[in-house]
Amino acid sequence: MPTKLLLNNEHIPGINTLQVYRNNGGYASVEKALKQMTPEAIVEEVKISGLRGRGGAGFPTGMKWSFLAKPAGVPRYLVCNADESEPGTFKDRYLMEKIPHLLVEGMITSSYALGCNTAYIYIRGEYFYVSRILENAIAEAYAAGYLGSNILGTGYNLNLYVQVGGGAYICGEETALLESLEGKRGNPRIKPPFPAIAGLYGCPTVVNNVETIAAVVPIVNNGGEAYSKIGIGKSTGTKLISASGHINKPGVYEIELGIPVEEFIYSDSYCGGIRNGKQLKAVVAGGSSVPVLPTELILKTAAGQPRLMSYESLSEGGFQTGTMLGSGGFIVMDEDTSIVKNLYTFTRFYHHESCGQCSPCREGTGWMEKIMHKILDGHGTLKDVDLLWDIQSKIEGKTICPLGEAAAWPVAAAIRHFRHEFEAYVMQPSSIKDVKHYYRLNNIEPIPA
Amino acid sequence: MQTTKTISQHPIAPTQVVQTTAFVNNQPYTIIPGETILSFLRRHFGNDTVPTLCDAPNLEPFGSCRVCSVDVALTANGSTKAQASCHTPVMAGSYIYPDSDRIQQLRKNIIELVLTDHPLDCLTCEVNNNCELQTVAARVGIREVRYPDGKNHLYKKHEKDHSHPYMTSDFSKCINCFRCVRACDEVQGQFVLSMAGRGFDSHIVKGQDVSFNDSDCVSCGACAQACPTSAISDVFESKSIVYDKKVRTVCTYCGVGCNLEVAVRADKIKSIQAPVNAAANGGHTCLKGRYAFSFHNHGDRLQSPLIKRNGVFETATWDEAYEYIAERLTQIKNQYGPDAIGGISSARCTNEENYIMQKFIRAVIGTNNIDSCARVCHSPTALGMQRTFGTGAATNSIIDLEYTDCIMVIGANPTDAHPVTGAKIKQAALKGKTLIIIDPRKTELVKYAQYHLQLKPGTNVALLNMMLFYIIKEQKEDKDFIASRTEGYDAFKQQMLNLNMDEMEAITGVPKELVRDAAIAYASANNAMSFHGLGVTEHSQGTFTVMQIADLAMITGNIGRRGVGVNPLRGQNNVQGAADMGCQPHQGAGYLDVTLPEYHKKYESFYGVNLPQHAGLKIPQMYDAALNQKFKALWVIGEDMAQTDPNTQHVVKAIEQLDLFIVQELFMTETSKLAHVILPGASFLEKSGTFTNGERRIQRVNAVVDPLPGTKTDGRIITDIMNKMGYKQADFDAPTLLNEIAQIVPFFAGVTWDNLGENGKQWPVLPDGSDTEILHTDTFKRGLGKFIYSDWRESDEIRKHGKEYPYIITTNRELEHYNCGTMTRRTRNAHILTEDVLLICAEDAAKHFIADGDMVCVESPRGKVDIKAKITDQVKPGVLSSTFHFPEIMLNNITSNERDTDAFCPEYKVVACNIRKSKGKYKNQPAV
Repeated sequence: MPTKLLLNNEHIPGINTLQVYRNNGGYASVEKALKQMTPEAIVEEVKISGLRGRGGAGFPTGMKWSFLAKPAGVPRYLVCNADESEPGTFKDRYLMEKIPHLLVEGMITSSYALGCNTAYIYIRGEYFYVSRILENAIAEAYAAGYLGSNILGTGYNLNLYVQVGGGAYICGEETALLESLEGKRGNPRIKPPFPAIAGLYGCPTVVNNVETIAAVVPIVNNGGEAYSKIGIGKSTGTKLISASGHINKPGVYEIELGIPVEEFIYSDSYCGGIRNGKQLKAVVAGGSSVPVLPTELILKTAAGQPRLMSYESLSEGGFQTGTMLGSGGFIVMDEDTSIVKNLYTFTRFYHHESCGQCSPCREGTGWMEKIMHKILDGHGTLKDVDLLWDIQSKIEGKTICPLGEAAAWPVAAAIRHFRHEFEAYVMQPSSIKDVKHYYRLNNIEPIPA
Repeated sequence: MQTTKTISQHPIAPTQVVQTTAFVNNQPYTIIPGETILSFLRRHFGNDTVPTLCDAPNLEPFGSCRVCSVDVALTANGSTKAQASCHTPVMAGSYIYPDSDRIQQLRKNIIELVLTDHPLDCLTCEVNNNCELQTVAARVGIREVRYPDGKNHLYKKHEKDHSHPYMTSDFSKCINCFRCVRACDEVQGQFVLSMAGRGFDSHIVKGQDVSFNDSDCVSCGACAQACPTSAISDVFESKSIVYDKKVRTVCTYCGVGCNLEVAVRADKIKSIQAPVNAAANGGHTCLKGRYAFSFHNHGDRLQSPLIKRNGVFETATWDEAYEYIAERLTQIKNQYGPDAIGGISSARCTNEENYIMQKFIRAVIGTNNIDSCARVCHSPTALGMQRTFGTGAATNSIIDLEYTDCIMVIGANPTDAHPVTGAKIKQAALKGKTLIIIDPRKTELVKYAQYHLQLKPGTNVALLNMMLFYIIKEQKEDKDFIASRTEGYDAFKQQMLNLNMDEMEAITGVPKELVRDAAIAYASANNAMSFHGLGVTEHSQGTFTVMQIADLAMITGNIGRRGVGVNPLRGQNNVQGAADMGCQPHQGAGYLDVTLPEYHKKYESFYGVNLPQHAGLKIPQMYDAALNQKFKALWVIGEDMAQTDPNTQHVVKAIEQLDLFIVQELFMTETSKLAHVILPGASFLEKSGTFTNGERRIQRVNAVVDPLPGTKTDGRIITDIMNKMGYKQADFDAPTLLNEIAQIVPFFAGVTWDNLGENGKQWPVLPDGSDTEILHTDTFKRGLGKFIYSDWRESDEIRKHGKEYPYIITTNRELEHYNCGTMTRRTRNAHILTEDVLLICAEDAAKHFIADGDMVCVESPRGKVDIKAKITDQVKPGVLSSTFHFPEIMLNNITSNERDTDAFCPEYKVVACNIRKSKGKYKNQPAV
């Protein structure tokens, strides 16, 4: 039976209510933290646990927390990034929908550790119904004395607010999120200063993903030591994986970091194998922006070792032969999938979501989509494939925020590993006979010949 | 999205060993801690070393174009990462490769991408040859655009916007660099421009996507100046105009003293830009400075001397006019004595011209009857600050706004009247600095203020006494400063503590708790500075109010360092200079008292003639003397008293009594219509000299074009007449005269034409040429600062007429026009603001059945005027407000003769009146 730290109680009826949640051990971390621990001790436990940011970057959470500036007389903020909009990723929604109190509990404990008296959950606009679930949970927590002033009689005060975003992917980037939270246009900020020094309203701020904050609860309850023993190497603890695509059992799975990818795809405890008995073709392992890998490279590393579900193993080999754990959006494609069409979908998405601040991304994402459209329509040339490669290389790492890279990586990986498919589209327009059907399905206007 | 790769962006690693160098192409160069890579490279290799698009000199780094990217490595020839140099701090010990092949290719790709959505119609583009995109594209060497035709924004939706008198836009040329948005936000603080849409569909909108004309744009032109292409420009094509020469000079409008760069082609003025390196305005100016210059060669300009014969003006030659004047003046002087003659010099003219005018009146005519329009604006400031500090000028500089923590604005509306300073105050408030506004009106700055003390007009003294009371009562005074730097505090404190706050609250109409909070905020700030304007001075207790502002600064120790002080916002470009140069009846050049024997002697030996030793007449006293037949001749330069001095009928009657009334003017004004002789002067664009701005900065004015045919510079006219009347005065030449001034005005001692340079010097200028940003750093000019208690006294205007005329009308200014509008009404500013209106609150309007836009008859004990009502929440019930920019209204028909008890500044700000709905019968009543 896999170790579960976050979703262990997900099937208990009424777990979304404070009563049931508390009866199953909920809010123990708040009691323990506020009554028995100093904020510094909690930060120390988180450091020991080896917890890494679950939003995608995998930055050590304890270290991020210890960077937080603490000038006297200036408020500090904790902001939960619930703007989960990476295609293929839906784990935060699942967690908030099922066990909202886990996030609320994590927010209280973490805020106490960071010395914040105001905290925000910034949730993506499309999750409006989840925001209501959270609001209900927060109201219950206020009524039970877990939020508000003088929490549990300890003298600690915390107000927690939910802010619904306006539906922009860019607002998941932490500085754009802060801009949006301040009521401005969601454009990323230039760094430095980093949010830990000047974040929300110019004050020191920590921005953490939903899952990261939820993971603080078991760390405080059981100690960082116990958490660090789960997982493998520097990939400690458990991770929520959103599995989607051509598999038998799509859904959210909590895995212990370090299980083999092959096991995750084929085991009945997880994805249950490829749908309709088809063969695996490729996997996007960590949300749409991470490089796609063909079967041979996702199951085994270039060195022939089994690929594991961990930060290190998935990125082994760099982008030449590896990928990233990212946000845990695990998209599985079977043998019938066209990588070209799949990439077109991704480029459309990034074109639509580029904020327009940096020239390479604003113009580049547009042209990547236009060129993909041209190729799909059968008007492409081999030059266009080279141009695609050129554009992506001039976006990656050359923009203010990582959205530019997020848009560039999928293009680079698709061409790197599946160049022959692009060439086929360009050279043999007959191979695209099904494209009209595809356009109809996806509501796309074909380019007039 | 979720953050995917923050870990890979290597943060600035703390350096163990303090290194002060970074390497460029493997060669070491010194760094200044905290500077960006771009400023580091520019410092060592010049401004053109790295191409940029979104970077602009007076804007914060933004990093959107990425053209400035450079390769950065941690070791020599190590693995590099492209960093945007404009916003990345230079790291000690890093290796920078600004022009590696990779970077060149990257820049080329970026520009290529930008060009896919840009019309390539350079030859017919306004900014051809002066376009930053063009320059950068040429530099990176774009030869082809590889992208297939696709959707773009060239012909879609973006039509040219020609709706506005000045501003234009053509967003097909936009490259989304955000420079205009940032200029609107960071420089002006108007927030009109913003980026709408996302990604490829990002586009600039004005307001809620309306035209320039329908937006809240204040036409400051900062966006047009900032835009690297022709996406936003102006009707003068200022940034790209082809010119023969550019001349740097100083603006003629308000006392901010903006430096302007005037482009001239074939002796015609084509456009004006604001130089970025100007100390006074740093690349910014307002629509008056930037766009309102077309008055200078307007068809209405007077271009020949005029002599009135039998009630009709006849053109005359200059010789005829001089002959006539010299003869008449000599005759009057002989018949009535020199004290029957007087002069009013102009704060619009240069220091040299003001100096020569007072010298003419004193040394040639032989009287001290010389005054200037400082009388009707800041004379109480000069007097009040002289009494408390010893000198009557701003103690600090505008740059101190960057160092202050708290800004108190009393009776001033800088966003309209001193727009560049107003914008800076707004920016300071937006950055979180405490802003306290004391004003009967809800001015624009109130939106940004923590405290607005909306007092009843005429109760300044009571309100400031409340603030002083609370500072004393809450023991927020700076005891050390009071003990070491001031005198008279104990008696002052005693009198303060006797005040009854409930009474004061009733008088001022401001809740005492609010006053207390504001007072505490001012007193508790580390550095607090105050600004005041005519809302302080143009009152019967103006001088007292100024002394209280000085008291507030002294009691809190806010004097003599960065970010503090008492800073009058001087109204006119050179009103500071006019007073400095001695255009005052009691003080000569350099504020030396003409009645004291030592100074009298000094002036006599300097001018080489006998001088009178009694003080002369102030402007209002001249009118009174004229009505009493004791005052016979008046020479006025560039002032329209008939439209701007209070109680028009009284002024006109006095002028009509004169035997000789000489006016030097640009245009036929309400005043010049009354003249016996009109001499056509020259505008600021046609003359050289110096102006002294509100922060005591003496700046060089350089003639851009020759005086219009038939006109002469004002200084030359006076010099001519001095020689005509037998005084040997050398030909008028600004540098020479400045040397003469430096010999007599103590605080000009080290000033020479050459050492003023581009940005001038702030007086006092010591003999070695060093200037002074902050006054009273160690001691006050008068030794110890003096606390003087003043009691509030209701204005006689209200005491005499308040029952019969229950409303109070107060006068104000609008951004678009300058004073009586003689100049601005002859520019396109008149298309933006077309008329004076009466600000009235909804309650009062309802009481009199007045709707928005109705004509209202405003009646005071002096007369009636009809003004169009504008219903607003800017004023409280019982208070009205209006401007006098337009001669059609002549608001000064109703203002009173009340004046400051000590400095004789007229009380424009408190006029008892009554209102009723009218049919417009009293409109269009010219003064003459």
